[in-house]
Amino acid sequence: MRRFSTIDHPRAQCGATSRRAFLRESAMGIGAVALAHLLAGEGMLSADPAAGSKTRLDLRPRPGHFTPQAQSVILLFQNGGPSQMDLFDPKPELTSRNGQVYAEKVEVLQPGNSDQLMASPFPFKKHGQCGMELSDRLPHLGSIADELCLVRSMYTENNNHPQALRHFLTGKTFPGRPTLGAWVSYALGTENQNLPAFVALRDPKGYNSGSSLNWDSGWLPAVYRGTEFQSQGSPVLNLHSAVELPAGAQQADLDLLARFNEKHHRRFPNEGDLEARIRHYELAARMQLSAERALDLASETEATQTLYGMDKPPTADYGKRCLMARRLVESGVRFVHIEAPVRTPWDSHSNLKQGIEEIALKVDQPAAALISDLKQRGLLESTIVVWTGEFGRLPVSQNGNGRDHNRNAFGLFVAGGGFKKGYIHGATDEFGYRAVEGRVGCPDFQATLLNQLGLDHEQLKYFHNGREETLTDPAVSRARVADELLA
Amino acid sequence: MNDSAGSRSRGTRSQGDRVLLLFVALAGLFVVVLFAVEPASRAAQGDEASSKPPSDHVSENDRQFWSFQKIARPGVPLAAAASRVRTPVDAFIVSQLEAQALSLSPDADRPTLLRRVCLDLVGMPPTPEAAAEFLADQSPDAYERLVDRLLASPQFGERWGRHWLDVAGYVDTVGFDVDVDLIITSERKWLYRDYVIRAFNDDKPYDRFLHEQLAGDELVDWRGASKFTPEIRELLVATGFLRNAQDLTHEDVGNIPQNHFGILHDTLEIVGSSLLGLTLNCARCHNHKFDPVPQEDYYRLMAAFTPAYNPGEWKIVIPYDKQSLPDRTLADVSLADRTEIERHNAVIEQQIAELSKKLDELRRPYREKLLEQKLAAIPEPIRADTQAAIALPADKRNEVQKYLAGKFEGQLKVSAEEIAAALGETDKGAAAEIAGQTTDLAGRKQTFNKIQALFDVGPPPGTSGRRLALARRFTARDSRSAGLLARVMVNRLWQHLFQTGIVPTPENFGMGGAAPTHPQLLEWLAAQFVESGWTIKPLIRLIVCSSVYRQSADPLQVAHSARASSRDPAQIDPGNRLLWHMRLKRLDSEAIRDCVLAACGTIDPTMGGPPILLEGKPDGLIVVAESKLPTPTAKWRRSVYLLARRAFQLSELAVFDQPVVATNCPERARSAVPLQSLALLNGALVWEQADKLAARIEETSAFSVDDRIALAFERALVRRPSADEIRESAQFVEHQAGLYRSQGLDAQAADHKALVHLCHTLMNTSEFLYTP
Repeated sequence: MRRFSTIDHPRAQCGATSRRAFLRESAMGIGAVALAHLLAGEGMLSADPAAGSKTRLDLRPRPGHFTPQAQSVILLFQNGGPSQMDLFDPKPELTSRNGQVYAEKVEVLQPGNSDQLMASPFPFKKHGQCGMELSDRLPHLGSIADELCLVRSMYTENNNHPQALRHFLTGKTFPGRPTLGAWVSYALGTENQNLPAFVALRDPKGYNSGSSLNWDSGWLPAVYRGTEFQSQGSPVLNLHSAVELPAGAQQADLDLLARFNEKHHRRFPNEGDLEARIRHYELAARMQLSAERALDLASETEATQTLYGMDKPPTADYGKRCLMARRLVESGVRFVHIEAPVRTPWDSHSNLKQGIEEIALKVDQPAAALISDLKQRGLLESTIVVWTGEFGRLPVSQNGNGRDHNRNAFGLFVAGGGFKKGYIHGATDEFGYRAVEGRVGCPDFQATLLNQLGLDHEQLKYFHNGREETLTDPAVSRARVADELLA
Repeated sequence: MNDSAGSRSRGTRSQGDRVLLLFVALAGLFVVVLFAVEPASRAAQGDEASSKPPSDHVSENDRQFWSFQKIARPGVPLAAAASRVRTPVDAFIVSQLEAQALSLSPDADRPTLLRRVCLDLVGMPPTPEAAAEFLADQSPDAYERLVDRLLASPQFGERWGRHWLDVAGYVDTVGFDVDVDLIITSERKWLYRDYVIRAFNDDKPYDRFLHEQLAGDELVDWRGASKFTPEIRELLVATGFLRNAQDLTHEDVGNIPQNHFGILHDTLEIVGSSLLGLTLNCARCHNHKFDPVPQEDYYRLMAAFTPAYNPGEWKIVIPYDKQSLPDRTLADVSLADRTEIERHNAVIEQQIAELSKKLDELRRPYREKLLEQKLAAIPEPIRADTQAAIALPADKRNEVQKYLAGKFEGQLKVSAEEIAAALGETDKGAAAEIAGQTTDLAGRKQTFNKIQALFDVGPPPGTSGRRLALARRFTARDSRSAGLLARVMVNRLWQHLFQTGIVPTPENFGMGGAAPTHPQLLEWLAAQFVESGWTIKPLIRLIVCSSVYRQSADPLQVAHSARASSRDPAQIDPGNRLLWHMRLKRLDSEAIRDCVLAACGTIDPTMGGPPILLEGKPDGLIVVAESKLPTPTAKWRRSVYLLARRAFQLSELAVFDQPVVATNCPERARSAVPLQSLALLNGALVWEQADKLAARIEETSAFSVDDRIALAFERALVRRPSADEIRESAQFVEHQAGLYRSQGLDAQAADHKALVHLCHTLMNTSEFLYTP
C-alpha cells in the first residue's frame, strides 16, 4: 500500500545512512551537491561570540547532542486557554459545591469574576485501559486515551494571553525571543531540502492571538522562522506564476538568470548569500513540484479523509490542516505548528458551555485522527504530537457562566516521541485552581521536548547581545527534563 | 468651602510629590554611570532624595567603559596613501588598513557609484535623465554635486525617515493585529510618519529631534495657547514617538493594569534600544547582568514617563465606550478653539434636533394613518395584541408576543419613503424646507482633526516637565549621555551606508555589545556630529564623499593587484571588517519594491498623507487594496506610505524582512530564503512592472533588438550591458518570442512578451537585489 517514493519518505528509515540513501536515490537530481553539503555537515555548534552575529544560516540536517527518540514535532496549539476542569481534570468538589463561595481569593485578569465555585456543565467518563477521565466533549481523544500522556499539573507565569503564549512558545513572557520551532530548526535543520524546516498552518480565516509571532525566529536568523503554508489554494505563496506562461518559457528565464547570477557571483565569490540565491531559484522550481505533492490531499483515501473529519463542516478545515501536518512530517519537515480555529476559541469568559461545545467539536476528532493515523503508519514513535493551550481557567464563575484565565494550573496532552502512553501525570487541588502534585513548568516541558529530539536544553545556545541565550534559560528558570513523562 | 480648600491642598500636596518624584527620578539617573557624579561630591551634597548609598552595581570599571565616556575628539591620523584621503574619514580607515599593510580598493566605476549613492541616499535608482546628467558631467566635483542634489531631494527624507521609523517601532494600527481583515487604525498616526520624513528633509538637529519626540508637549504651552500654530501642532505630533508601543487597551478585555504597564515597559525598551543603545529591558526584573543599570534605576527612568501614561488612570487609544471613557487624542486646534467649536456644534445639534422634532410632528398624522391602514389587514381578534407586542422592546416580549411581532412586524412597518409619498402638497413643501435647513445647518458645523500625542495628565500647570528634563539631560553639552547618544546615532548612519555599523550591534553599546571596529573613527564622527550642531546631512555628505565609501566592492580586483605585493587582503581580513573593499549590500524590502517601480517608471512620487491601505487575499497574499485607492496611481506610491501594520505587511515587503513589529527594529535581518525567489519569480508585481518597462522601452526610439536590450539593462541595472550580455539576451529574446509566436501571437506582440521576460529576468538578478 506504499504510495510514496523515497523522496516523500525520507523518514522511512532514520539516521544518516538513510539520508544518504535518500539523496542517492533522489529522482530530482540534487543528490551530488546536497550530499556534499551533508557529509560536510557541521556538528552541533553554539555560535562563536568572537564571530559576532555570524552563524550558520542553512537548514541542512545535522545531528543533535545525543541519539534522538523523535525526529519531528506537531504542535496543536489551542489558543485561548482550554478549561482543564471542563475537559480533562474532573473536579467532583466543584460539582458538589457549585455556587458556594470559594474561600481562596483567586488571581483574576478581567472584571466580572464572582467568588462562587462553578461546576462543569459536562459529565466525565473513563476511557481506555488506563482509565483516563475526560469530559464528554472529547470523545475522539478519549478513544485513543491509551496513546496519550496527559499532564494535569502544568503551570505558567502569567495569566494574560500574549505573555503566556510567549512563555510557552519562547520560554519568557516578554517579546522578541525565538519560538520553540525556530530553536529546533536552528538545532537540527531539516530532512527535506525541498521544503521548509518549520511550517505554520493557520486558520484560513485569520490569525490567532499572537499572530505570526507564534512561529517567529526572534533574534535567531530569519531562515529559522516558520513558513506559513496555506490550507486553501496553493500551499506556498507565489508558488505559481501570476501570469500564464508558454511551456518552456520559465525554464528559459531561469537559464538566463542562472548565467547572469553565476557571473555576478564570480565577482563576489565570498558572498554565501549569492550562492544561496542561485540555489533558491533551482529550489523554487523543485518546490513547485514537492510542495504540491507533499500536500496533495486528493491522493489520500476517502477513509483517511473521513477519519480526519474532512467530510463534515465543523471539522473540515482543522481536519485538513492536521492531515497536511501528517504529510509534511512524512516528507521530512521538522516542526509543524497548527493554530486552533480563529481567534482565541478556548477563551470562555462567558457562555463557557456553548463555547467549549463549539470548539471541541472542531478539534477533537481531527486531533485524535492525526495521532491514530501517525500510529498506523509507524510514524508516531518518531513524531511528538502536543495538544496544549497557553494557560488554564479558574474554578470560580465569571460573567455568570464563564471562567477567567488561570496561570496556576493547566493541562496538556502529548503523544508519541517516547512519551509514556495511557499515562496521567500530576494533579491539581480539589478545585483545579493550582497544580499541586508533579508540577511541570513550561521551561520543563520545553526541555523535555528538546530532550526527545536529541537536544540538551542547556547546550542548545545562541549568542545574542553578549549572552549565550538558550530556550529555557535554566539558570533562571531551573528548567529540567521531566523524566517522569518519558517511557 | 471646605471642599475647595481640601482639593487645593490635595493639589498642592500632589504637586509637591511630583517635584520630589522628579528629583528622585533624576537622582536615580545619576546612579546610572552615564549621569554619574563622583561618590564624594554626592556625599558632600547630602543628597537626601537618595540617601541610600550609591548602588554597588556600578563599579569603577563600569565608569570607565568606552561608550559611557564624554566625547574626546581624537586627532586625525596621517595615512601614507595621502592621495586616497579625501576626508578625515579616510585618514582613519586608511591608517588602520596600513597598519595591516592593506589599502583601499580603487574607486568604483561611475555607473556603480551612481547607483550605490542613489540607493543609499534616496532608496531609488536615478531617473534616466539624472543618470545621463551625471555620467556626462566630467567636472571634478560632479560626484559631490550629485550628492548635494540627492541630499536636497525630498526622497532623502523618505529613505532616512524610514530607517528612523524602524527604530521607533512605527505602525499605523492599534492592538494585536491578528486578523488580516481587521485593521484598527490609530487615527492620523501618520502625521508622526510625515513629521519624521520632514525632520530628515529639513535636517532638523538630532538633539532637537529627540527633545521634540520625547517632550514636544513640554516645549510649548499648548494648553494655554489661544490658537495652535503649525509649530505647536508639529511638537505635539512629534510625541507620537511615545505612542508606538503596542496598545491593547482599545478593547475592554485589554484595558487592564498589566497592559497599561506593559506599554510603559515597551516604551522603555524602545527608548533604550533606539536612543541609548542599551538593553534596558534586562533591568526590568533584576539588575542588568552586564551593564551598570540597576533595577531600581530602570523604574526611576520609568518615572519620567509615568505622569503622561498615567497607568493608574489609563486613557485608552480608542474608546470602546464613548460615554464613560475619555478620548485621549488631542485636537489640532487649541483647547479654547476646541471648546468654542464644540459649543458652536452643540448649538447646531440643538437646532437640528428641533428641526427633526418638527419634521416628526409633521409626519406623525401620516404615519398613524398609514399604520391604521396596515393594521386593518390584520385579523381583528389579534390586532390589539399584535400592536402591543410590537410596542414592547424585543427582549421584553413573551413567547406569544415574540411570535406575533415576528410575523407582523415587517408588514406593519411604515417606511420614511411611504410617508414622504403620502404627504400633502403643503406638507411636502414644509418637509423639503426642513430638510434643506437641516443640511444647511449640518454644513455649518466646524471640525477639527486628531493628533496622537503623549502629554502629562495632572493638575495645573498640567505637566511635570520630567520628560523634557530627561531629554535635555540626554543631550546635555559635554556629558557622558550626549557622548553615548551621539555615538549610537553616527553608528546608525554608518550602518545604513556600509550595511554593518562600526559597532556591529546598533542596539547594544553596553558591555554585552560588540566592540567598535574603528573606535577612533567612531569617536571622531561623534565629535563632528555634536560640534556641527547635531546635523545629519553634513555628516552623511562627509561619509559618502570619502574614498572609503567610493571604493570598489569587487574583492577580486584588489586581491589580484595585491598579489604582487604578496599581501593578500582576503587572507589578512577575510571578513572585510577593516573595509579594504566596499561591502556588497542587499537592498532592504522597501528599496526593492521602490526600485522595481522606479526602474519601470511607474512610481507615484506623491508625499505624505494617509497610508495606502492593504488587504488580504484568500490565498494568503497581502496586497494593496485597489478598491480603496485615493487615486489610480496610488498603488505605486513609495513603500513608506503603505499601511504600516505589526504583522500583515505587503507580502513583497514581508518576504524581504520587513520586520514584524513586536516593539521596534534596530537592525533589519537580511535573509536569503527561497520564498524571496518565488516572490520575484512568480509574484504579480514584477510581472506587472516588467510589462510596463517593456512598453516604455518600445515607446522610445530604440528600434533594434540590441538597443532595446541595452535600454532594459540601463533602466533595471543602471549600466550598459556587455557585448556578451547583449548576445545572450538577444538569443533569449528570440527564443521567448518564438514560444509566443507558436502560441499564435503576432510578431509585434510576441516581441513585446519576450522583452517583458528580459525585464522580468533582470529584476530577478542578484545584481538588482544588491548594491556593490
